[in-house]
Amino acid sequence: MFLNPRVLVTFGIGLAWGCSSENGSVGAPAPAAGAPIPVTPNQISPSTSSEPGVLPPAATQAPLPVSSAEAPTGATEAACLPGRTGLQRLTARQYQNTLNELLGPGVPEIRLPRDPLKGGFENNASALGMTPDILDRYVSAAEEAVDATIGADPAWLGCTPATTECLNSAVLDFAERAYRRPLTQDDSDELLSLVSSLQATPTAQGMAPTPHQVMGWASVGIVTSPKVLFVALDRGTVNETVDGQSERFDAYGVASRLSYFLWSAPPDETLLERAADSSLLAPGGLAAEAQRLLSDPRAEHFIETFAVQWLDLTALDQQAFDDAVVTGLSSTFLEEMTQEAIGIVRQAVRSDQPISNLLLSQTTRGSEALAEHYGGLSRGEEIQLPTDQRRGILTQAGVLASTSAPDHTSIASRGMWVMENLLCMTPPPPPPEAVDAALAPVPDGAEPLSQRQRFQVHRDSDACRGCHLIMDELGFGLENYDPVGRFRTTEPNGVAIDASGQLPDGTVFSGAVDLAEKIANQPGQPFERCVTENLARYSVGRLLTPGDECFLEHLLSRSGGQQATFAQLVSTLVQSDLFLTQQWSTQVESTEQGEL
Amino acid sequence: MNRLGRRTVLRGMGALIPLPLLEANLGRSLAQAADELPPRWAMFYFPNGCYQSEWTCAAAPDGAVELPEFLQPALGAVRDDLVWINGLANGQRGKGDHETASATYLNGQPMVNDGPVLERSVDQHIAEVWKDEYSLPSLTLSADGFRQGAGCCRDVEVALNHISWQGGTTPTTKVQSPHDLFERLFPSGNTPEEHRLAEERRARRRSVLDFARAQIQRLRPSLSNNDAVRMDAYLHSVREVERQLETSVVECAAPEQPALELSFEEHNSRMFDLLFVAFQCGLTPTATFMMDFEFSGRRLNIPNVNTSHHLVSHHGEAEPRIRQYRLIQAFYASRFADFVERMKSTQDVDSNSLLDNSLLILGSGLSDGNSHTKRELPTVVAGTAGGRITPGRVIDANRRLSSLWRTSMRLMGVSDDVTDAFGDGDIDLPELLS
Repeated sequence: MFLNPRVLVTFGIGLAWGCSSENGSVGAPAPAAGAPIPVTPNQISPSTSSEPGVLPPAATQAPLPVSSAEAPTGATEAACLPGRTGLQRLTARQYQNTLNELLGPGVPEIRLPRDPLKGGFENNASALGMTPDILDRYVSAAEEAVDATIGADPAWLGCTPATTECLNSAVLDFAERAYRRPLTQDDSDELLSLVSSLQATPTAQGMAPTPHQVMGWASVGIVTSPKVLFVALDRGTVNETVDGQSERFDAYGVASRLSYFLWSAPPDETLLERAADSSLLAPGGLAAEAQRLLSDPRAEHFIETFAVQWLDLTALDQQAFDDAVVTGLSSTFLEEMTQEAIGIVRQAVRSDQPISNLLLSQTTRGSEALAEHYGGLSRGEEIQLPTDQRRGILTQAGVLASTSAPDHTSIASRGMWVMENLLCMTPPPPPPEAVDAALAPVPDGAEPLSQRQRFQVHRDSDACRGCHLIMDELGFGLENYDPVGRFRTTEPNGVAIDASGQLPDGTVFSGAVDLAEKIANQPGQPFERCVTENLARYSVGRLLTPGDECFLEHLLSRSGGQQATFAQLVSTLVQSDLFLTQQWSTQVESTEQGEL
Repeated sequence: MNRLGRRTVLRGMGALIPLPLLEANLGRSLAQAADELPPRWAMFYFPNGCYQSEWTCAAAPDGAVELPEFLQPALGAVRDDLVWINGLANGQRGKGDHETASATYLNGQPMVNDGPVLERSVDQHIAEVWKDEYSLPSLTLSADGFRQGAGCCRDVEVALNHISWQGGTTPTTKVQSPHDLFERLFPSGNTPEEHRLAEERRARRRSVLDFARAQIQRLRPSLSNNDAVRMDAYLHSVREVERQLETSVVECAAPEQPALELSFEEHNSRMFDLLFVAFQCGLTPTATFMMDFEFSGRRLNIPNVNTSHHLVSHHGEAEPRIRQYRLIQAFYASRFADFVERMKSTQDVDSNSLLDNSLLILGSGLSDGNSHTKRELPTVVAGTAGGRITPGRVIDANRRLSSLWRTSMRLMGVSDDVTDAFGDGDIDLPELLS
């Protein structure tokens, strides 16, 4: 993940890579409140500390980063080299939307295999493989969609008598829309030969097919073409500005990338016109189109996908809580929690509040039942939160529930959630076969311990301390919420909750509301950076490379720091060469070798 | 000698009959015998390991399997059809214990960086050998949905959801519902009209795939590196789907198509039902069924289980959790046993039972779910693979898991060259054969 080792180093927190006693890491004792979490040099992995340009930090003094080590202060974006997305297969969601846009409202809801998340998102090009079964499902989906639309509408072709000329021209028109760019001569030749071959294919009754039937069959071929199934197959010309090392998408390529980013759907007619007359890439063109796309109802696809995947709620509906925990909740409460997260992001996209409002907002979106769950006031779709108990995305029930076990809260999971999703810090996995003693069942008749006391075992263990010092401290801050996010002041065993803890740089907080404010006020704006990083990763469909991070620095400075709104961030991003170009050529990634 | 093609046999004897099976020629070498056997190999995976201190089982004085008490109700009826294998270990490394458990289970290869594995899994090796004779060279079945990774390992969540791999980081696409499995097994439907329409669909698909292939071949030269790899995967997929069009000739009486929405337990039953038909009719030589995703926190709807599978797998030696943990393992074991019984009570076209002509494996990628160990993996085998395995025994293997896969591959006709290079050790499990 982006900034993976480096940011941890600049944060002044060397994590024991592998987090294992086997590699000789020795952690420090628990720090006093107010002190940065200390680190010993051998907790920093050799690969991290030897990385060019990155020095190991002074163990206890490094502040949160204002900019990453290789940010060329004052330099322009032109010095940054982007990573490469490469061919990006349409996701199941994008394919459904593509069929809907091309074929109209008659397209049924099609069940395609769910795409795997990589880097948190479903549109990571390197994870979107093509296998015989996936192709088979996409072709079947296309057949189903065409049968339900073209097949069901005898007047689809729109000309009587339906001559071959009429058929040919309808096929070419459809293909041009489907390919999202003008047809080349080769395209036309291939399409016309597809028509001829289909005309020679008898129907089930042994008859020659009608032009209308051929139109339907040709459409199946068109919507399963690589020109449709990959987001921007034709990428345009090589950009010479960075020593010929990156390539610039042409206007049609940018149009497709933009619409699949903000709509999960193909460009509409207007966007293609802007690409055709080059106004898309003229000054102000991209900002205007980004704004238009975000205001369109189709932006709901972006809002939903980004909200659920960034906030890591895709598995929320799989959570199985014990009956005692969910007593009194409706059967739809998990779905309501997901809707709340989507509502919060929708609000952010539509509002003129700065990004940090996601953390600081005193209102949320949801039903009356949710308002009651929070002890808040329901006003239409808006809920006024009890401000001493809740604030922003950190205390939403979906986050608290998705990080809990069926019968208890998980301090480590919640702390990890804050690290990963709000601060973009990724700790390594626990050492193999680590038994988490903090999770052991409590023997009958034992003295009740607080979770904080039970988690002391993490600090006592050399193998665990490096990572858990950070995540447990953050997780303590969310202990005032039970496994489904209800506010509480005592644990189920009656022990009073102490929800104080500290941020990685030593900033002390008390409870989740304070934690949210302290994160929002951290120097270097790690939260805004993290949102930007997630947006960037989603917009280009790849894990970010060090070169990509270089672009992020410029993005952040151009957005006007903490004052940027969500929409401004999107606008700046799509105008950046991070979005408009990619590395021209690259070695085959080792993980993709042998894909056949 | 040439393998007698299954399809040739079927075409010769007409459609709508169960798979004919040649007499197992036990006097021949393994490879030769496998050449003539239409194989059926299936692996049934359950997640989150087992209560290992009770799972390991000793041989009775007469050598028979002495079942762990908690599995007696589930497996008692098929006890003498089982080979109980103790002491298989998977030492592969990877990101996250659960992720590694499933991703490396059928590979014998470590996970790499952000991607799971580089090696094709054992079922896909078997499929490769037989693919020209089956329209469905393999079936890759699973529970419905997708298990999301947690914390550290979200970027490799694909590992939790797959045990079958094509090679590279590409998992074999799973059939996730009995409804879809039905469509794969019986693409031509049930009625003459459906058959005719299916024939038309095949004809137009040929044109459509020709078109895609021509486009890919025109675009391919301008691509480099990763793009070329991805486009090649596309071309490979086109060719595979074309090939399947040409080989879809076996017709087998189709059962009712299962409903779309099923409970987890019904879903599991229907998958077994359809797999049974697929094996009976000889529609596929090999299958994997990931009965639930690794790291599953599912609350199964079985008596006296009231919380998450993953939670009780971290039992901490506390009896209330262990009790539920045992019940969940017994659930999966009993589903396996039901399938074994069905295979046993159905006669194949030789006079043997379907079970005699199969090799079925039940197992999990973790040993003790509490500690995430992978040293004593729960592994049970049923079926005699054409009389080459004597059931009703306990084997103390004490070696790597891939030894079982290597022996499986040889039994199923994979060449020695491929098998010798498979896995993380150079040892087979010859004790299985006797």
